Amino acid sequence: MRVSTKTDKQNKKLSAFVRKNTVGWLMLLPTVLFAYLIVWRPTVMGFYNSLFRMQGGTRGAFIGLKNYVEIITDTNFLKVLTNTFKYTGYSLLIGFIPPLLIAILLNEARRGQYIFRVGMYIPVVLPGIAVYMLWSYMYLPGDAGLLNTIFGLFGADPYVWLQDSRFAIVWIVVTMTWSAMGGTILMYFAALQGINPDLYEAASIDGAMIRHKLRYIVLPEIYPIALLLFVRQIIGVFQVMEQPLTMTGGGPDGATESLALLAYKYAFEYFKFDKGMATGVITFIILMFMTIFYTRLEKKVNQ
Amino acid sequence: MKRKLLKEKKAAVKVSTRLIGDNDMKRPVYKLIYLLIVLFLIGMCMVTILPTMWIFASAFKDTKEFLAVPPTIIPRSFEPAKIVQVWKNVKFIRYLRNSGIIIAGDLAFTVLFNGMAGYVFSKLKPAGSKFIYRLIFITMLLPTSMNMIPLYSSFVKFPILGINITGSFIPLWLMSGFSAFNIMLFKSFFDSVPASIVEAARIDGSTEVGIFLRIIIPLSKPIVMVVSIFTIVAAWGNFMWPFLILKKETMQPVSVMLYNMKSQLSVDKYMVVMMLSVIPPLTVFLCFSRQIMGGVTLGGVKE
Amino acid sequence: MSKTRRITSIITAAVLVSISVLLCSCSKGGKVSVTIGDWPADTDTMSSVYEEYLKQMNEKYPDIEIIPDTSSGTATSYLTRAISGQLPNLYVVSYTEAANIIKSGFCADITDACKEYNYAQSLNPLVLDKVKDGDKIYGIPQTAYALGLICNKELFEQAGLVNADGTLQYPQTYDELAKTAKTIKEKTNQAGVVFPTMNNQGGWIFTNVAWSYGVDFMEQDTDGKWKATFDTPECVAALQYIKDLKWVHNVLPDNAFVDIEEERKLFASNQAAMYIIHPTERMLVKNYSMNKDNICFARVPEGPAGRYTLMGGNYYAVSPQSTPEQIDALFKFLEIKGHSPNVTEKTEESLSMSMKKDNDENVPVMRKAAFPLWINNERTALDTKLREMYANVPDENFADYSSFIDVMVHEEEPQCAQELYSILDSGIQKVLTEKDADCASIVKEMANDFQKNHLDKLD
Repeated sequence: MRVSTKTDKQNKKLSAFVRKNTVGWLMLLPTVLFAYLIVWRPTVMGFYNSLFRMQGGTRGAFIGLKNYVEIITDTNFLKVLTNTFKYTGYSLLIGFIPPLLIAILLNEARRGQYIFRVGMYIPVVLPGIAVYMLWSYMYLPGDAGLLNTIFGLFGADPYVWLQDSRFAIVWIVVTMTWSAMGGTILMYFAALQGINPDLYEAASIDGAMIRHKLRYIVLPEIYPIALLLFVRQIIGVFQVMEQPLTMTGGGPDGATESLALLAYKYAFEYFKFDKGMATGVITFIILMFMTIFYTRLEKKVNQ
Repeated sequence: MKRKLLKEKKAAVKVSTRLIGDNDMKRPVYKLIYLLIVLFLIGMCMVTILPTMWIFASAFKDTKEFLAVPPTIIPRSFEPAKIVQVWKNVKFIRYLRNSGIIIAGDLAFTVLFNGMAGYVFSKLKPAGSKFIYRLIFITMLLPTSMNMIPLYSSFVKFPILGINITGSFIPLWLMSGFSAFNIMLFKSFFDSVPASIVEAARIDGSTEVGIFLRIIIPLSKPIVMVVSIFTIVAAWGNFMWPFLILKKETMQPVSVMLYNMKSQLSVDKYMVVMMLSVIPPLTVFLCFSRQIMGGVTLGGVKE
Repeated sequence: MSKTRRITSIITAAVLVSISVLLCSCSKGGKVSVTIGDWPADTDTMSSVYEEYLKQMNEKYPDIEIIPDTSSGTATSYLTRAISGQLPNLYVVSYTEAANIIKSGFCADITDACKEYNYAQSLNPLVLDKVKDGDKIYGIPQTAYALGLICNKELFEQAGLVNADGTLQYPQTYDELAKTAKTIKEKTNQAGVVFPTMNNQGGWIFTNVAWSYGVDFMEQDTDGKWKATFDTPECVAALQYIKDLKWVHNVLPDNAFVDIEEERKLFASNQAAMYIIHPTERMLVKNYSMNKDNICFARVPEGPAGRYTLMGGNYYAVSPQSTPEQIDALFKFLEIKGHSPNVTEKTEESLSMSMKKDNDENVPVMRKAAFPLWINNERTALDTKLREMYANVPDENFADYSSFIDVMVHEEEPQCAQELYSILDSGIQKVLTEKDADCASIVKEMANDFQKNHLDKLD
């Protein structure tokens, strides 16, 4: 008697275990398949195919690292690589700190917070192409450009904006920041709102100055999210492509060409899928190093 | 009267997460600082809203005024007939329909598959799913630059089946079947659904898929809503993939049309197309801004 | 609960529909069906004419099914379509792409059909050569033209650049072009001339200027290797000329990101007076509602080394997947459309239809063909006759271009032409955006880039 109940229980447990696992895995199957199809397989295929000479879409002869050698020895590669880092650098300068500052200031507002948030989020919902085209028009050089007209009211001379090869990347980054900042601001804002009010109260009682509150309450609280956004921004901006493609075509004189745009051009303008993939792999490797660096950093912070 | 009191009480709670406390506000220096902050925030909102408004202003100008140098910032002419004409000329309704089809499929795939995965990770947790969850988290940090070209070729020759699915909406839908970000959003929301509800349904004899569809989804309206709105806005703006996949004009969505029309329409008419393409996402946003704000917060904190 | 069920059923339906769409796309009927690209979109007035072709086709060959494909045909989009196997059976591309397309196997060998239907014998060999690789024919020329200088009559008149007999004072040399542009800029405050800088179009046009300045871009060594040979004072002078247009004469538009479409927009809205282009500028009228009588055409200007122009245009290519039956069906369609060397009453009727439409729609129809496409007398005579009937622009607007005096047609550069254009684009952008740019070092750099990045890497 006693023994049988035990096996009964075991059976029940087993069936629950099986149910939980088979059903669970069955329901997870589509996701795993999609992840395989959309992320993992292409990632591996990209590596693999970049070692071959591709004729259109089909694999030809194995050529080892020749694609890589050809890409890296291209006289413009270094420039494109530098540009890509410039995009990232400028975007951190223009697009990383300001949203944080704005969020902190937004948090100070005693009235109309909601309206401000809605207003600042508007560009995020506009279709990307519309944003790039809009800014291309605003950046038009000479008297025809909107920005020149506006700054002209204050007596400024017309400026060439995207045609200034020294700063064209900056203007593209401004556009990117304009269209994405709303989301970042809201994330910081949420983090700020989530801070325990007691901390402020305690600080006030201690007679803390604003900069002390900022230093000892606000910054530690938003540090984790800031770090995450930092990495996501690097990864995102390092792969910038649509913006230069639609706004400058990579010009003037390749001043705004990025690695991802180079990959796109290799593949979809010059039929060279193999080189396109190899360029993608190069981007990938650089970013992997950055990601590993980030996870190390995160661990350190968590400890 | 009571409501007002409640409001005040709420405000009182909020005050304490600010750097400038209530007591500080009594001093004129802080009053000045606060004024500057508000002015700054208003300025930021102008920066985000005015360019968007400019699209509308320009769309209504007549051709002559549009080409005027320097451009007028506040339009003098008003030509609504042009909008009707452009609407008909570019067959906007067709692109609208295509965008609609893409969005509908994207929504179905996103909610069904990402939601299901979130449910499995949150409630079923079959053996080994933690590992998959980790893998999915990593994909968020993976650069997509490398995937694009191989993924494109796998749509040209679909793995195993060997058929070409470019030229149809399917690749776009498939791609929305997997989004690490959405899976995480779903999971973290489902985590807050009490396990007892799921248990009760199991005892009633519901299947897991049934529980997910009939109990979890209806209970999770807020998150379904948020993910749906994000999906709609993203699908509306998605340009690169429809551009690469859909080469038949009759199947292209608004975003691709927007890109193509740049080289087929005169500038003033192009502005009209731009305005038309901006209206739907703006409407969705303004109608559902509360949910979106909440959603961003959700995404930000739980990441 | 019913609401949930509804959601469930909607989702299930969506998934089912997607699967069935997937399956449907594989099925096929018994007829020979061919997809014809470059079909005018239903928003294009020309579409009614094509509808008529379609009707005639269905009557005459009931077992051929024609599937119109209206996708717009930029080069890039054809490449992606080729790679994804989405090419229509018949598609249209420019000669510039021919070498790439043939090399990549994106088109079918149609030599046999061309011989059978008389195309091989009747097409102008100068043009046909562009779509040949050895003895094999890979395409059927659709249009052919020599580049010329398009001029905006209204702006010329405003600037007073009109002769006593009413003709415009076309610039004859590149120096005159700069001078004319300057006059226009001073008198009308609009850009005197536009030069493209993007999408390889800058390089494409620049080669014409460079040839006229005496530049040879490349040559083949005795051992078969290609060498870039344009790091010369001539090329520096040609680039300096472009640079001076901006910084000395200041006759270019402010925007330095210019492609052909931008040129057209500026020109059609009277914001620019001249650019170098082919004479089949339908878009000016069709997309940008320009008055056709406002368009004048001259020969390209002369440089120190002569008056060189590139011959260009579009041709029909056939997708590599096409079966012999499909290829045959395509030729039958071309016959119906009238794009055929064989003259019948039908040919005349079909051609009239499309020319009449152009005439009705105020798209410029010139009395003289830009470049003779056919060499069999019968077909040439028909062309002349129809042009006589439907020409709708004043002859004097195109007289200078049509005279072809001194004009020398230059072959497109033989190796990596697109890559060369891309490099030239960059150089042009540089001199147009940097006032202090040094042309000599830019040319040196361009030649070096072209050699190292492209010629040295030829397989």
